[in-house]
Amino acid sequence: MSDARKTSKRKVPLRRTLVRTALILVYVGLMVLVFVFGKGHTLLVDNKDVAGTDLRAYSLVKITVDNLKPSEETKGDRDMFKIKGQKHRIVLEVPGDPNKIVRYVTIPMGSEIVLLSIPKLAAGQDPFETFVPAEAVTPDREAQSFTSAGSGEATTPSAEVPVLPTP
Amino acid sequence: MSGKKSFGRFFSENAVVIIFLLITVACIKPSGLSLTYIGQEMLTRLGRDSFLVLALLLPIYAGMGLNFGMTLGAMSGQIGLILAMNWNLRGVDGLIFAVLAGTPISVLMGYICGVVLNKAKGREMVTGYILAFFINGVYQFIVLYMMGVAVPIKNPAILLSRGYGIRNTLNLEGVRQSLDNLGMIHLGPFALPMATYAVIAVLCVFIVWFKRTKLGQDMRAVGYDMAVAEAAGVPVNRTRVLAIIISTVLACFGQIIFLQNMGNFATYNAHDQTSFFAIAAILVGGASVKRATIPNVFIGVVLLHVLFIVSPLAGQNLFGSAMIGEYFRQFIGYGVIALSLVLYAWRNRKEIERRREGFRGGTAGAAAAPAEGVGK
Repeated sequence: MSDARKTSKRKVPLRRTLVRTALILVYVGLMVLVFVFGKGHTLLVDNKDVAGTDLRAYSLVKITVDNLKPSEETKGDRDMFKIKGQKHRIVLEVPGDPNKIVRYVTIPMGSEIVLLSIPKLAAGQDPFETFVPAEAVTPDREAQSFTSAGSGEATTPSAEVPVLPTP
Repeated sequence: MSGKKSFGRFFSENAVVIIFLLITVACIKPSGLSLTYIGQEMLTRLGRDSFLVLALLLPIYAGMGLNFGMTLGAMSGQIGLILAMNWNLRGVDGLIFAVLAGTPISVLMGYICGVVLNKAKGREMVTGYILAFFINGVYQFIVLYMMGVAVPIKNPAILLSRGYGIRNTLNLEGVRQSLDNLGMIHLGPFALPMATYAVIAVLCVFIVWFKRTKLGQDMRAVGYDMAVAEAAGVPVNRTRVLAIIISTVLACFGQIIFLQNMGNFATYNAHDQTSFFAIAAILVGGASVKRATIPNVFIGVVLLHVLFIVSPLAGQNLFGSAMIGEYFRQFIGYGVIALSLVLYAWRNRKEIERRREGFRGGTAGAAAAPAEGVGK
């Protein structure tokens, strides 16, 4: 009797531990799932000639990404879409051409900003290009821009300094 | 005579609501705002604030008064949102992530708050208020100094240029009104954020269901009389801690709903007045320290916010300065809480006197109800 009790006492904590572990795993899994589906990216869409190839930009093209508001680009234009998730449907419509070009792209998880070439996408090539951001303003340069005349002392921009509330 | 007495009693029980209603109605005309505009603003604010105010109900049921410690939940929600913004999560997924990230923090905060409040039985409100100040310091230390150092923050849009600490104001562009716009219905001139209302409705159903559970009954027993509940075998301390944990977690969700509607937040002081305005709203709705119902929440949110909408413009038109309306808004918030607490103390004293008279053989107090107890 006492052995049976001991056995059941042992079993309950184990089961409880397993259930709790499973719940924690489900919780973490849910976070990962939401992270993957909710991850936002900035998609820059370039309608420019591709250097070194015979791929030419469209003189006018209408670009639709997923269900977002379409954008019309003339030759040399660049537009931006704020998207979330990895897989996206891009539809290209060229005036006078009844056939729509539909392409699916998968954006790498780690990329915040992705540059996509329309001529490459239409040609069925890997459309992603390396995005080189404009030179970032370093804190020193940023501070210098707030240097007061004559003093030579750098001051921090006031908008950035948190104002701590007093109780 | 009896009619006069019953009117007096009705007035004393609903004094805050009546005074507020009169001030609000009086301010509508001078504000010059159309009823359509006021109605739309009211509908928006109902979705924005109701969840936070509903979070106050359970501690009131458990006899712990108005939970000023809900600020802790608000801070947890903000940390969840900061993490969501750091990883650039967008839409409802971003909100769900903020909820998932904020919940464990709010559970921990609620536990700490519950344990502290158990050490200060009978002085829960002031203890919660001061505890919120203390945790505010911890929050500021983490957000201002630890984020970017101990907590990896990579997004330059939210990080201070010095390399650590979060910017003073966060733009929630990615999640802005993502819940409100989900299933938005346009009825004539009004836009109704149905998804937000659905979330609030689910919480109302949860509260009604929860009150019927064993734990809910225990909370009411603890709220009515701790000694009796203890004698009846109810684990009083545990029940009180659970009430605060649930309230803190709900406050975390409520703050996320509130901030997604606003679209940005002041990192270091957005939570400061969360409990203050939520408590003002529930008191305006006719609740007291020991009695609150779901209708009190909605009446309070509507009345308080209609006054908030009309008072600056009424101040502008009546006195030539919008700031007077703004001061009025602050004054009303603090004033309502003070008035309600004073009325509560006064009513309780009256009730005790009436009962004492009843014990002495008088007729007045013989059939009187007991001093204000737990809400239905």
